[in-house]
Amino acid sequence: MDREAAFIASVVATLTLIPILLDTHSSLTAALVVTLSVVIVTFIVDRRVRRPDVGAVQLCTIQSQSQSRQH
Amino acid sequence: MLDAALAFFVLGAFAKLVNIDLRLPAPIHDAITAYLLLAIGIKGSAALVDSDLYTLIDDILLVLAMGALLPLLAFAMLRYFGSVGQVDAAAIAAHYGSVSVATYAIAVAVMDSAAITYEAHLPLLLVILEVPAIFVGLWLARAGFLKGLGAAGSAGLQSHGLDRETLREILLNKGVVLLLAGIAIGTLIHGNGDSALKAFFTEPFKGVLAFFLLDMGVMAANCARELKQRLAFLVSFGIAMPLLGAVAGFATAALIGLSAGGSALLAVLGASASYIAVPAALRQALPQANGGMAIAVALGVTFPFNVMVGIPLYLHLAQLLA
Repeated sequence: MDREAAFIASVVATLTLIPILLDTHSSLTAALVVTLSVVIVTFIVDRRVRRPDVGAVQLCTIQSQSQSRQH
Repeated sequence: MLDAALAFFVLGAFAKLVNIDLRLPAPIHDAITAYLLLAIGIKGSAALVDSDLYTLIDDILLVLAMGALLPLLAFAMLRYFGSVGQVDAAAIAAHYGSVSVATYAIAVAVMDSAAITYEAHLPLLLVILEVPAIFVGLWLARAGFLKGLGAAGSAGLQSHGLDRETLREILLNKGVVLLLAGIAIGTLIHGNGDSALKAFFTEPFKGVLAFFLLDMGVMAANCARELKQRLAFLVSFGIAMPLLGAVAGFATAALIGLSAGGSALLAVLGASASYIAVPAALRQALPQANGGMAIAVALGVTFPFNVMVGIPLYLHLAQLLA
C-alpha cells in the first residue's frame, strides 16, 4: 500500500472509531457517518478517474515491448 | 439536534448543488463579515476591561508557538503522504496554521446557546493566531524545510518575499484590524455602559451569523467542485488536519489552564483553516502557489467538516477532558 492510500485508510479508520470511542449522541454519529461516506465515495471516484491513465500507461508499455521484440 | 443556524449552511450548499443561486451580493457579504468581526471583538472585550494584559503574556506565547507548529505539521503531511509540491504544500500549510473567524463565530454561537462559559480573552488569541502561520508558510516555501520528505521539488520558486506591501497585508489585513478595533471599541462600550451599542452587537449576532452561513454554504459547495485533482487525498487531508489541529488546541489549552469552554474554543481555532486573510497575503507574497487548491480544501472540506462534525466533537471532548 502506498503512503497516500495508507493515509486515506487511516483517516477513514479514525472517523469510524470516533463515535465508538466517544459514545456520542445520535446527530454527531450521523454527521460522522455522512463524512465517512463522503471520504469513501471520494476515494472510489478518485481511483476510477485515475484508472484509465494507469491502463493507458500499461498499454503503452506493452505496445513498446512488443514493438521492440519485433525489431 | 442540528443547530438551527447550521441549517442555513446546509440550505446554501444544497441550493448550489441543484444549481439554485442563493449567493448574497458581495457588498452584503462584506458588511456581514465586518459585523461579525466587530461583534466578536466587542463580545470578547468585556472581561478585558478590568484584566491585566501582562498576565496573558504566557498564553500569548504558547498560542504563538501553536500557530507556528500547525503549518509545520500540515506541510510534513502534505509532502510525505501526498507528495504535494513544495510551494503548494507551504501555501496550504499557511492556511491551516491560521484561523477561520466564521468557524469561531459558529462555535461561540453554539456555546452561548448551550450556556457554556469560556475565557473572555479568546478573541485576542484568535487575532494572534492569524499571523504566525503566514510567516512559517513563506519560510517553508523558500527554505526547503523537510526537503527529503516528498517527491516533488521546489523548482521555479520565485517569491516576491516580505516586502512592505506583504507585511502590511499580513499584519494589517481587514480581519485583524476589525477584530482589534472591536476589542478596543468594546472596552469603551463596556466601560461607558453603552447598552444600545452593546445590544446591537450582541442580540442579532446569531441571526446575522445564520445569514452569513447561507452564503458560506454556497461558497463551500462551489469550492468542493474545484477539488478535481487529488480528490481523495485532499478530502482526507481536509478532515485529518482539523482533528490534529484540535489536539494541538487541547494540548495548548491544558498548558494555559483554560476552562472546558475555553479549551473547546482553542481546539476550534487549532482545527480551523483561514480562507480570507491568508489567501490575500499569499497572493501578494507567493504568487506561484496554487491558491485555488488551498481555498478549495479549506472552504470546501475543512469548513463544512468543522461545522457539521468538528465543533460538536470538540465540545464533547472538552467536557470529557474537564
